[in-house]
Amino acid sequence: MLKRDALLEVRIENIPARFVTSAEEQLKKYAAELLAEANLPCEGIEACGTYKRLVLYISGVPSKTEERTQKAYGPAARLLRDAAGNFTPQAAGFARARGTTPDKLGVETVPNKGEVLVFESKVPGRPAVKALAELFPKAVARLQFPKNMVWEASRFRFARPIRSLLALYGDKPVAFSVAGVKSGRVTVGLSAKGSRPLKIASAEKYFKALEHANVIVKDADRLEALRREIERLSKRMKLEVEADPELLSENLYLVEYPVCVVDGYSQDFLKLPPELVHLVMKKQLKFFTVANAAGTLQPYFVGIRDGVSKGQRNVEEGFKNVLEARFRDAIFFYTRDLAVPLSDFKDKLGAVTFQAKLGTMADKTARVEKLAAWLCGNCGAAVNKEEVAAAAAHVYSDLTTNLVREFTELQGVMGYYYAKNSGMSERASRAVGEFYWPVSAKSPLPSSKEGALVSLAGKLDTLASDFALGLIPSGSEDPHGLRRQALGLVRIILENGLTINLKEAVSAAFAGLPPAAASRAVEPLLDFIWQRAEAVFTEAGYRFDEAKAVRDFFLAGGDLLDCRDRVRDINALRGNPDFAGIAMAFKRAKNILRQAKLPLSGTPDENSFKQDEERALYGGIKALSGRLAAHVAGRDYAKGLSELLSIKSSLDNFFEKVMVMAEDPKVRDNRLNLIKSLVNLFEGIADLSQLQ
Amino acid sequence: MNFQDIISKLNQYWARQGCAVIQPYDLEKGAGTFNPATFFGSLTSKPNSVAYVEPCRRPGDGRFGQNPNRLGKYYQYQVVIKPPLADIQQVYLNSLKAVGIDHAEHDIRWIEDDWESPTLGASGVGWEVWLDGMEVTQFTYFQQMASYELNPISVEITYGLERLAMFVQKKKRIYDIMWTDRLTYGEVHKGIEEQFSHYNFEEADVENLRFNFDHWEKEVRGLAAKGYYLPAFDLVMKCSQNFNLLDARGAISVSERAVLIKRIRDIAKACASAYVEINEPSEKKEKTNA
Repeated sequence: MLKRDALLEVRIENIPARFVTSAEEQLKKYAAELLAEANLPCEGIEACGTYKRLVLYISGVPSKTEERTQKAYGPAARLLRDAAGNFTPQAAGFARARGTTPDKLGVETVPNKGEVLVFESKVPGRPAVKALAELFPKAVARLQFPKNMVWEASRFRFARPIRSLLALYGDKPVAFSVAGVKSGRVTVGLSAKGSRPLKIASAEKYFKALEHANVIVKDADRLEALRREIERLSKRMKLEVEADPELLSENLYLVEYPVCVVDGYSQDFLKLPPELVHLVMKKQLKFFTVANAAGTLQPYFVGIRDGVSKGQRNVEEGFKNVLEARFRDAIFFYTRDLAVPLSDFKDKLGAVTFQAKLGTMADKTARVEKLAAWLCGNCGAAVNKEEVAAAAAHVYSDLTTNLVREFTELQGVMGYYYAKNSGMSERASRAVGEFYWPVSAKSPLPSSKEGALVSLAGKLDTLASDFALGLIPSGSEDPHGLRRQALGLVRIILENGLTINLKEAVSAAFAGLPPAAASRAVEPLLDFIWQRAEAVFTEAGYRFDEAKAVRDFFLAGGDLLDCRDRVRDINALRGNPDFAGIAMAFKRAKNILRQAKLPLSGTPDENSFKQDEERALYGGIKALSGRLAAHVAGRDYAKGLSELLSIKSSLDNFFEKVMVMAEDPKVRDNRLNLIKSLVNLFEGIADLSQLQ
Repeated sequence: MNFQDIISKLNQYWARQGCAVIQPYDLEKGAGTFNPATFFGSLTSKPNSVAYVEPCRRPGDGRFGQNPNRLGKYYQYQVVIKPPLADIQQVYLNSLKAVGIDHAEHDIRWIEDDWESPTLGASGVGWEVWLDGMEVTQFTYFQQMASYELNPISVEITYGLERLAMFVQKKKRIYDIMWTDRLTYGEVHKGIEEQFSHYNFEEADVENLRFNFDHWEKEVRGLAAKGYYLPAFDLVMKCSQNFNLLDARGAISVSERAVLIKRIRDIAKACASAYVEINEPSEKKEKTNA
């Protein structure tokens, strides 16, 4: 059978990048499902699009759907014939309803119903054009977007108004309508050329026809064209056009035919902080920045326009004017801010509310300063306290500057420049600038220990604040990004090797909050932090159950670094075959104690031992306990754990030969105490019963 | 093309598209959407096509005539069409041609920007239109007005006339725009910017603004209840302007801000409800929880 390609183009008013890419995925999926339902095979399904077209391209479609067998089930099989052997009225009725005669009926066993009458019929293939006319509108109607709208009388919901539907099977039109728009074989060309109507002869000729009209429909081809343009420019300028992936994608869905627009701007604007230059160019104008080989910004920009290079001068000039106006605004704010002492901006924080019940940003600053000072003395590292204090005092000061009020994304970043301008040391200034770090799961941490402590203080206060107000993240709800804050806190502590008792730190954070925020959820917050820590451990290659084995140490002592060491050392020993046996024996010992439920001293009476195995085990435990305590005190868990292995054979013998639950209660209790002493010994390192 | 010619060309163009070219509404307002022709015009099923210039006041944006790009009072050119034409984007692009901007010679891009007005309980879906990178128009399909789901939908096209003129005349400062071939925008407007900036930021009597707000708010309720939605809505505009002035005077805290916005939204809704009840009593309009 001759096969042709099928095409659907939904032409809409402009939609943004994230709408297009998601709609493409959905189109492919729904098309596959609907084609299968319709028994219409194909050789391939593709979806692509631009800001104003969503395109589904199905290749190798036969002209008819496949013939299939259809079964209709009727009354119970025993009702086929009566006692005399004649067809019953029920059987005749069922056959008639199916347009057949009772002699054509069969019998089939159906679950829950038993044997029933069945009529099998062949459904002949239908023209593909008909099937497509049904499935195209269904696929369109199923599309989900981040946001929908209505615009016409039927109140069909879609991302943006649908303005034409182009639907072809080979050279035949596929007729249907959606949202009051009838499908046809006409679309339009490039907007810059007046959106001229384009009649498409056949599905197979679609992409070529559009290319002739300067529309690159396929996303990958358009991206390739854009990249090529950018590379060509980089070569020509002997500089690097910074092809930010996010920006590439955004521009990809603002144009149907990318054309680069390059121009320079005044060197003066490069006196602005590079982060600000990037922000103005990328976020406000969607321009690419240009840098030299060393990564230093150069005074050029690359913008992308939609369509051929007629009027290129106009566009260059327009882009340049807009960019300069934005830069002038930024410079105006920046120079005004630099002329004001940082303390003036800090003073204004008293008028900025943090959260109702939690006071102003000035109050929050005071809390962060206090926590930072506390951390200086309780982090197990030597830090410059003056620098910590200097930075902590100004972590939020940039919030009231003119520039950050205009460009809120630059909070923290601008703090660095203003701190430096006010005479703060480089390190303290950087601590201000890196206060919000890490900004994402893998991004860098504050570069100094001083910065680490200031950042920790901020995170502790933010976490405690929300927990005090009961704003605890659940499920996908985490509006204040507390998980990210807690993860940042964990990473800062571990990667800086800080010894901090988080239980105390969290309590201190709660203690600093105003009385109106009454709840002091120390346990839940510690547990919340621990969950992030477990994620970090798993990421580092440790196993989930290994983290579980040390969780109680964290909740009791709050020392994340210590817990990490334990997890690490358990993990390292995990491959040792004896270790599995020891963990198993420990689990068994714990189970026995749990069932016994007696108050136990953990000190057995050596004279009451009845068997050598008891004596041997206890001897081993006594010999070990002193050494183990020393290892634990010295935080050498690797040594401690390997020492534990030394009693494996006496432990195995004990469990093999000794009946713990002896008849004689005295003997039994003594044995339980022996086990208790064993458990005590192990529990100094980890709860190995958690291991699976 | 000078400033007044641009306005004439737009008037002629939109008149040809079937719009009634009406005059600005004679009260202070922050945006052309407040004009009753748009506010009430979008609410019922009756077709509506209007175009008008609307002077807008944004007290907080005043810069004492010092900033080349910001004004406390400026002009919008507003087009509202219900139901929207199927080729409305192209019709809009052709309007740019009418003021001398040929799309083939320039870059025009539509940047996602879903407009909303919390004070009017209004929201829509649409774009900023960038002309060679400069935002010259806000293009919106209204979805809600005064918390009513709209049916049919209106499209609102709002040109920033100064931006458009700067573009057409290649000026870098608003004040350099040629109003006529001899008179500049600065000559017409700079004094207004200077004086009103002082008023908006320094002089406006806060107590009086608050008093009037409270008083008018009560009056709106009474008027709307009697079905006098037109004078009632005038007072909503006045409340909104007072709010903007209080804001510029720095007299509103963050929490109070949300409260005041809701109060304006509520009285705007009272006017809308009266209007709908009187003009379309049979229509069961869906109210949403906005």
